[in-house]
Amino acid sequence: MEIWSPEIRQSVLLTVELATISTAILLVLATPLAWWLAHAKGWWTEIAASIIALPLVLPPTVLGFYLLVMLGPDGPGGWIASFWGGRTLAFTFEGLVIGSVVYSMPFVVQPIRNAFSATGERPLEVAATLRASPWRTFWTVAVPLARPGFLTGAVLGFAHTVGEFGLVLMIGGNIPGRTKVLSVAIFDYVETSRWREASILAGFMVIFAFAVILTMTLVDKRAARAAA
Amino acid sequence: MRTAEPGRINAAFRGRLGNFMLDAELSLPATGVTAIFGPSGCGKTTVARCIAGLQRMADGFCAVDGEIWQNHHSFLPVHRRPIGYVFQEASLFPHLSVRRNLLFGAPKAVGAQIAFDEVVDLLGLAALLDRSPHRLSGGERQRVAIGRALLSQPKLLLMDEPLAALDRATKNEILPFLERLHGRLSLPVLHISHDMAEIERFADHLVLMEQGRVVGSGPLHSLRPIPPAGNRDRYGDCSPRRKSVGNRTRMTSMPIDFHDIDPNRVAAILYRSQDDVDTLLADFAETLTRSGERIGGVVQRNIKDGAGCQVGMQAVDLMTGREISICQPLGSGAMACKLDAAGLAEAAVAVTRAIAADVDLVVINKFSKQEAAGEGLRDELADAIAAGIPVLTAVPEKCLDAWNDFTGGIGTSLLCERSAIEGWWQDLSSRMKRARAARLAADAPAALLTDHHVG
Repeated sequence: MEIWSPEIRQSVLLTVELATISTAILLVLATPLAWWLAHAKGWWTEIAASIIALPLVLPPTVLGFYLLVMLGPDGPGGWIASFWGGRTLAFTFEGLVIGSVVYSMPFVVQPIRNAFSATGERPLEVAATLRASPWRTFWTVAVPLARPGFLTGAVLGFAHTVGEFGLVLMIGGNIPGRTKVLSVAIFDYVETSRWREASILAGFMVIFAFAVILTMTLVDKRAARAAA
Repeated sequence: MRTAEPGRINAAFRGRLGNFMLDAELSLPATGVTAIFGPSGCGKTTVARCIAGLQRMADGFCAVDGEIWQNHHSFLPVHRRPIGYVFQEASLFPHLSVRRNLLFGAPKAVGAQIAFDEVVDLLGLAALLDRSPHRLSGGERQRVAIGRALLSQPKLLLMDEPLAALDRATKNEILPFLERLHGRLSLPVLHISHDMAEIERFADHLVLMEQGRVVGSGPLHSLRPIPPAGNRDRYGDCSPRRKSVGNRTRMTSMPIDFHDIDPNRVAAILYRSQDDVDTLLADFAETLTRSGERIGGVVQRNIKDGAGCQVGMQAVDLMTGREISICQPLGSGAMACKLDAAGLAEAAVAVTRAIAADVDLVVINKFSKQEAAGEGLRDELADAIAAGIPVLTAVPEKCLDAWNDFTGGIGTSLLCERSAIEGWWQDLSSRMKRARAARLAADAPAALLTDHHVG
């Protein structure tokens, strides 16, 4: 009996794919959001920040329930799915991506927002007095100075997507090859008393998590050395 | 003044920032170095930021050399204004090397007026180019920041207290570079400062600001700075009544940290109103000067009429021996007599000059009501103490609390007697001489060697 059975491979690949796509989308959405939260002044920024932070405190099942309603045939998800002839986004890979993005958003926004705030206004002012347009200032000053925040955000976003369970079960179900990700697969194996497969997957998760964190730390150290 | 004139900088800004009201109008030549001088919090930095476009006043006008940067219906964003801005802290980009910091704002096209090599040479940056900003000293950082501003090919250079955050040694290291810079470049410069000695070294034109307003503008030496008004009631008359108030009012000015200063070097003569401390200090200073000691600062002599009643007073700059000014007599028999604005400014310059000359003792005639309220010669006293130079001053008994708050309790209190002062000075100066001799002895072998070579 091989360790790397097609069933296991399928769920691992699906998880990595989901986490990669979600992280990419998260970074694209979280960066302007974090920028706005770090620089806007007013009571509504804190309201927006609280809404973004909701998934931190809500039970994943509650979040999953609302998402299920929204993604279903009668919600906006059904309307979006109708563009490519689908009926619903629930129990689809696309639905999982949307769910993961919502669920992991605070873990990505918060570190990036903190990094932007820590940079402060002064470097941006300096860049402006040196004729740099706001766009150039953003890419050549704000983003490089907030690099640790981006790194932390990306790692946290990726890891949370890999590890989410309750939400996936609510909106994705357990469809092999489409929505059966690692965490659900492990649950499945335990349910059916297939301890061997469960321990292979669980062990893989531990090694994977360790490798991700170690790589990110080393990359960051090297980048910091190169800049110094 | 809200018109654009070629060859001039015209600016007017009015508005409220928190509880600070700015209402400043300027018309300056767009050549040479113009210094904007005023006490902290007078709005000089805000004016510079408004001219740069970093701060936007709704009611503002700004035109440089005929080009309108801001008026009622237009506002040129910062990155479109041909300025160079040097901030108080160097603010280098930490993720870029010195070279890339310098080139950040430099136009890509060749044939720039201010060449890279020239700036590197002018500011002595050649050895630093490939270093990271983390590995530079404070002075080096500020030189890079100045170079970076110049290389963006500005038509106006704004320097916002570029030396204020540096210690005295670093300041002295940078000042020659600044002088060279102002001498070599035809660029108009707006130099913000609260340090008259700095301004005297290179400004051509002076703008005086106070509480958000421009109170004077003209060629340097045609103007005299006016001391800060306001917060006159902080320690009021230093009355002990305030002590009973549980939560004592704090100074508005920044608390100063003198903790690494040798407490023996700061001495305050405590006197009561009936003591003639002015004469005592003036006589003591005169004795020291006669015996060839290097001392500086300001003392006062009372002018008395034939009947021995005080009718006025005269302040003397100890280094030059110059009589600074005679304050207006308040009438026969009046005891309270303060330096007027011009006199105070000159006294401040006298003390600053003494600090710059690194004298062996700075005498400042008084720490009293004005100084307690954050005015008068308070800043100069702080500079002298912070510079580590021995300081002798006189403190009325009722101002002792304010004095202790100011120094953080360091220093020696002396009785208002000649012998007490002399005792302190003899003790201190002999220790200083011993320390100096020890230093010389350490250098002696090297000195002997060079002597032999010469011989």
